Amino acid sequence: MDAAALLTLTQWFTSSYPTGGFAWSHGLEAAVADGAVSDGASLRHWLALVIEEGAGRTDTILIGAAHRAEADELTTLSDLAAALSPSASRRAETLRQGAAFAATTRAAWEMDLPDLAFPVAVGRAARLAGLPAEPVALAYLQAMAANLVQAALRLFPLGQTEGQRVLRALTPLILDRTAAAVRLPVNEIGGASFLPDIGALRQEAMAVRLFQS
Amino acid sequence: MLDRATLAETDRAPAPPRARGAVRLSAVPGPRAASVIGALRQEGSLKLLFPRGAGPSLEAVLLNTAGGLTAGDRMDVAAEAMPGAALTLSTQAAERAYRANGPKPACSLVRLSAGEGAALRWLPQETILFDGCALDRTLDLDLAPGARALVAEAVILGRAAMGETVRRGRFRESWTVRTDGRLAFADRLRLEGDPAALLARSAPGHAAFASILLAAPDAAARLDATRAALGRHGGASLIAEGLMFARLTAPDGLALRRILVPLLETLGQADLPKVWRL
Repeated sequence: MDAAALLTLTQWFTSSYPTGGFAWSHGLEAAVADGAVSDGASLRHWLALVIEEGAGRTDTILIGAAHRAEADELTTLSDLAAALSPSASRRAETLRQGAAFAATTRAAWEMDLPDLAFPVAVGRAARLAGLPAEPVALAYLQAMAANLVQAALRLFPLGQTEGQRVLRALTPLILDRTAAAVRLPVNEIGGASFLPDIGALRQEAMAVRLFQS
Repeated sequence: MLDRATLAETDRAPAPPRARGAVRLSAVPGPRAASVIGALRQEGSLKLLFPRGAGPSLEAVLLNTAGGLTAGDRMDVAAEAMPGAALTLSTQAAERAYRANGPKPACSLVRLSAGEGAALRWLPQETILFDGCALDRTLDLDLAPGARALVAEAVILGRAAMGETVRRGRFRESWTVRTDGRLAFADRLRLEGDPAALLARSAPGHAAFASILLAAPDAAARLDATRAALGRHGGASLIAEGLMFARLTAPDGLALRRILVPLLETLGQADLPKVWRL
């Protein structure tokens, strides 16, 4: 990957790229309320589940599939991504972030990029920009984890440094899982992400919520 | 101690015969209040029993005469509630996914559909996974506009009373729900490697889980009561208009049943099939 590609990736997956990631906790808010996540160690455990068993793995497979797909297959992939969301708020999380990513990228890169679920929009944008799927998926996963660490900082006392330590500790896992997953067909999607998924279902029932998911 | 001849024999031992079973059933509105059998076909080790029910729904109970699932087995169920009909399906006993002695997993394929104004309930008893199991289960549900459906699958890792657990195995469960031909919901559970440890990562001390889907015009009105019934280790969401999904975990099969039985009776607006009552 050349330096220009590296800068494109950095631009897409920095928190200032207007995808509205700050609004979504992916169910973490309920995990904190239920006491399942309360410090750096339990946050790391929860994030590892998301990466290995949950949306992290699913989205990596979808990024790879969208990168390989022809233009007329994208809507089907995006519909699958939306349907795989275990709750209404998680469905909104992937569709709204995807639409926001597509709107900005379409305008700034002058790309023919339709509104799609987040990982599908990212995979397609990478293809159109001539970026390989694997580093894009790595940056996407890192950004997803970083965004959830930011959410954690707002949900319970966790220092900035401890948050970055958690993120750093997850890097080997992200590296290890992405290379294989990005090449898998969509029928290999699946996992055992009971805690994040049930959390997403429970978060919607909370009386007072900081996050939309 | 094994001698060479015994070893060679073990190596060449023929794979046990694989079980195949298929049933096809449709329910149609009957001449009186209750729905009746439209079409019926049964093959191999799957049989259907029709206990006399009291309600408006045709009640069918699946029986796997092979006694459980192991490597290479294949079970196909196709059931349809025709427009205006009501069909309830259950299983005679808990399905058992035994240790698989072969490279191919057992495959269970369930295709369900409900026509306009139909009511379909798919309420099999729990599936018990044994150590070394390999089971791929697929459930496709096609709903016409205005159809009602209640689908639940419960899974238990090992028989707790026997001190069993499942430290090695493969379990995949794939749900695909279409309303009016459009993909509405997809769920892909996958516990591969050490299923007990995978579940414990999410829910320490838990060995059972269940998934529930309700398609009903008034699904939104059922959300609060469902959430209350699910307790601390479950949740529910209205994933689309008239479509609710719920998932929960529980320490064991009994604790899971204590939540599921009253909840499924409320959501299905009818008593559970008699086979559910111990």
